Amino acid sequence: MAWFLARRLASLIAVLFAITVLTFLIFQAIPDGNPALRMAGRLASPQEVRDISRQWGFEKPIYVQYVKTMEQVLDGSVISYSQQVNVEQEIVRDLPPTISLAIGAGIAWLLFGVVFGLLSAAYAGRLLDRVLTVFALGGISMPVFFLGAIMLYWLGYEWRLLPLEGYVPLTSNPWGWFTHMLMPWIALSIVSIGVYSRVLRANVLDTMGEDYVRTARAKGLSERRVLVHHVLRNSLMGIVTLWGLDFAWVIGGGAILVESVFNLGGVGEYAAQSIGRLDVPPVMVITMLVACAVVVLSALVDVAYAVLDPRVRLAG
Amino acid sequence: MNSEGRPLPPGVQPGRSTGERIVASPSHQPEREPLLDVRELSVTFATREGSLSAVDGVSFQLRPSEVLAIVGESGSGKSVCASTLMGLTRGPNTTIAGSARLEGEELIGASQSRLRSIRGARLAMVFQDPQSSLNPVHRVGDQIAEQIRAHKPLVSKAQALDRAGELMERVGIPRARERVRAYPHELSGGQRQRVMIAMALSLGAKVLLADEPTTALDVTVQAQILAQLKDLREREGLSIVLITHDFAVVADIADRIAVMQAGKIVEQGSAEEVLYEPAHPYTRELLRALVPPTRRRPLRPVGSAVPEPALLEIEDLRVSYPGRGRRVARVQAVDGVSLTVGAGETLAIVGESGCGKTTTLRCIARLIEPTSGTIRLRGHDLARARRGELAALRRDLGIVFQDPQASLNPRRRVGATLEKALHVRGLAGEQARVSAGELLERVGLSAAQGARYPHELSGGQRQRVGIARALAGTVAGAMAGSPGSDASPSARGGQARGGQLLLLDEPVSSLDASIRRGVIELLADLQARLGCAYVLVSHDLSTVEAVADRIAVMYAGKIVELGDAREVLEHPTHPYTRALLAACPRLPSGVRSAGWMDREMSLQRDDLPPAETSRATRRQSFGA
Repeated sequence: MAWFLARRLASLIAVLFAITVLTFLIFQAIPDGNPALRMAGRLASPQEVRDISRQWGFEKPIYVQYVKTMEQVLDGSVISYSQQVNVEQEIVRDLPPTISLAIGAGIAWLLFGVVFGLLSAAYAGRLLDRVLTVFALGGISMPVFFLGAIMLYWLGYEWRLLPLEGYVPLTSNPWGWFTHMLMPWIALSIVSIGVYSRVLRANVLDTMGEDYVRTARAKGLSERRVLVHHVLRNSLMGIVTLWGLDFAWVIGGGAILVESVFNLGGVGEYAAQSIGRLDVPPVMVITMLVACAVVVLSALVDVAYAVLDPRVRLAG
Repeated sequence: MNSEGRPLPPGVQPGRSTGERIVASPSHQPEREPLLDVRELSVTFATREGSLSAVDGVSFQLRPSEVLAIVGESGSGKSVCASTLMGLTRGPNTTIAGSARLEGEELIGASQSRLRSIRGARLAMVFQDPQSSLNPVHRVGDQIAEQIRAHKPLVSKAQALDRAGELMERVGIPRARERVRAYPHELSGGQRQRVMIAMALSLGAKVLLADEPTTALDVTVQAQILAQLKDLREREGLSIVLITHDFAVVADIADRIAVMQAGKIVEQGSAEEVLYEPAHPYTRELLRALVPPTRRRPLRPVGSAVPEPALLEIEDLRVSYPGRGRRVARVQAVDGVSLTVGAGETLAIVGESGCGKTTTLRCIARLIEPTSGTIRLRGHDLARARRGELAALRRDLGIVFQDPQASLNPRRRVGATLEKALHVRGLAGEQARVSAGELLERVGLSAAQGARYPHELSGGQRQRVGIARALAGTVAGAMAGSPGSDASPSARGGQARGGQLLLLDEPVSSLDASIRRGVIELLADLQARLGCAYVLVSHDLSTVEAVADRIAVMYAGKIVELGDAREVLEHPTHPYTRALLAACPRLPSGVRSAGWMDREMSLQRDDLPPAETSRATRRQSFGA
């Protein structure tokens, strides 16, 4: 286990280095990307631009700029170009809504994806399977902003069942947090429930053809026990991988549409604004956050593999 | 009749309604109620091409502590028959008719919940492949306990696990009490099958359906498992329906034998009758297939040296893999193997699964990188050859794999597969097309069959295509050497290039016995005509006996015995070779020398191709 963690840590460092260098270089390559020009404003004189350049170190070689930025990122003092505020404080402020979104929606899509997928496979070819298939395909093809708008209008505005927008911290008002998050969770998980139930249905049907499932039936087990105890566990592998990656994607601001439709003010919105302003420091930090989330979650996925299947060993 | 084995039982009764011979076992009263009474059982699958009758009016009885063997080849319906009795054959496209009574209770048409209470408790089943039949993610003890608790919900988990340990002990698993907590992958193949048997016995089932219980196991393990079944029959009065394709397996254990072909029982009677006086031509065909074909060419005299110069020389070949986990030692798959193969000779490597025989073979083709050692083909070191040189050397190599279905591209016509092999060896376009046809004819197929896809051929035909592909070098080499020459194939392929080397990896073990023979004869014939050398890897000693000049016996990565075929088979010196030979199931010698066998063996055998064709069409309709 210690060996496994050490290897994962090493790969995390390698990934972070590669991803930050790439991000930094991309912003250098963008035309008209000189941040000093934008910071100086439209009417600035060349002298002012030069002053800003000198002050921020933009005239130095790229690698020096990279090292300086990384130093600031690592000691938490990095300042954004456009608003000149501490980036890490911004992200710490934006993380709670994003993490709330990821956890709630992640649980919802895993749970409902598995339940619907299993039901679909158990009744393969029959009415329930067809109904679930239609819902899954509908969910997959539903645009989040459309679904979000519909929900906001009916649930929030017309019927006044749920609050319209914004984020309430869990610590200050748990019920408020829950009601504010409910619509975002639904909007975000609908697509994934569709995808997961389809994937699981296919995996379950594959597993049902395995010899040990025949053995389980030959033992005289009930069909439910065969399905849950022998089929499901062997079908979960693909889902677990998918879940890890999707979860990391949401943590890293991938759910930007949901965040902006419901005005949660999460990491995704911050990332989108920063990219629009060609603001390198926040983008660097958010990219690193995504990379960390992906590496950590794939390590967790590997642990889950070892739990699900005893033939998998972590040291390997 | 009773020249060997048990005496012929008394009381052979004339046939009943179906005309089969019913024989009462000497130990039981003839009037005693059969445990399992199957009458006119039929299973029909509706397919797109119409209905397919998998089981067609099958009737048999199983009496207490009796072993009934159902023998048939793949597709004969024997397994469908067993799974129907278990109530596991179902689905909207399946029609089941007839009757099957277990201790008087009708199974056909019984409710699912009724069947579920019978399955595992009164009627248990053991399957072919214990590796895939056990759930890999649950401990074996839990899997046994689960069955107990499914039928007896009041038993606690601890009690059930305790009982599981007891059962595993009973079926001869060493350290059974600890192994309860083992996962299937931590047990050997034989132990896994013992777990399956323990599971089947866990609720005191009186009838065991064993579907090819030893086919996936090594011969020595097979002998142990069969002995275990026999022991259970004798000590505990277990009744067994043993389903198998192999007469040699049942010869020793069965009281009665039923032979199935195309869904019907074509012959049924006491073991002695069916083995010694088979009445049906199909039974005879199956039995005949077990006697190795007569050799086309004489064995080289014992003790003669390998013909010089050697075609293939392997010296101190080693292959090791890193062990799983950091502190585990490397696994030595091949541990210092040295071999020579002369031009035109056949060297057989025999041994159990995991002994390194296939790894050695794959090293010769450099499909696996050797860790150390040299492999010289005609003096050139294959083990260290660079890319271009390796490609040139590989042109003289052909490899035939075990499963022809898996080793032919399913989306490519077999003619195109052969053309590809020829293309690699420098033939293109029209030339390759013609040569592909030639290759097909050489292996006993027609050039027109090149337009077919692998699934349109029978198993035997597919393996012939596999052999044709391996022979591509003989044609291409000759063409390149002397275009348009009309010399005989052996002169063309053989002399000009110094002979081909064919690597045969269990070339017949996935084929039915009756087809096997034809393929073995083809290999012998090709060797006589083309002068190619074979390295044959096999666990089946009758195949080896039929074709090998010399035999190398491998055990745990090492060659423990190497010598002339006859010498090794008749006077084995290493204890492992002796164990292997002793475990190999064979027909009693009385069967081999029965009068009908002699007469028929001397007849010309032209009946193979039609038998294969009929099977091919059957398979196709199954696949749909």
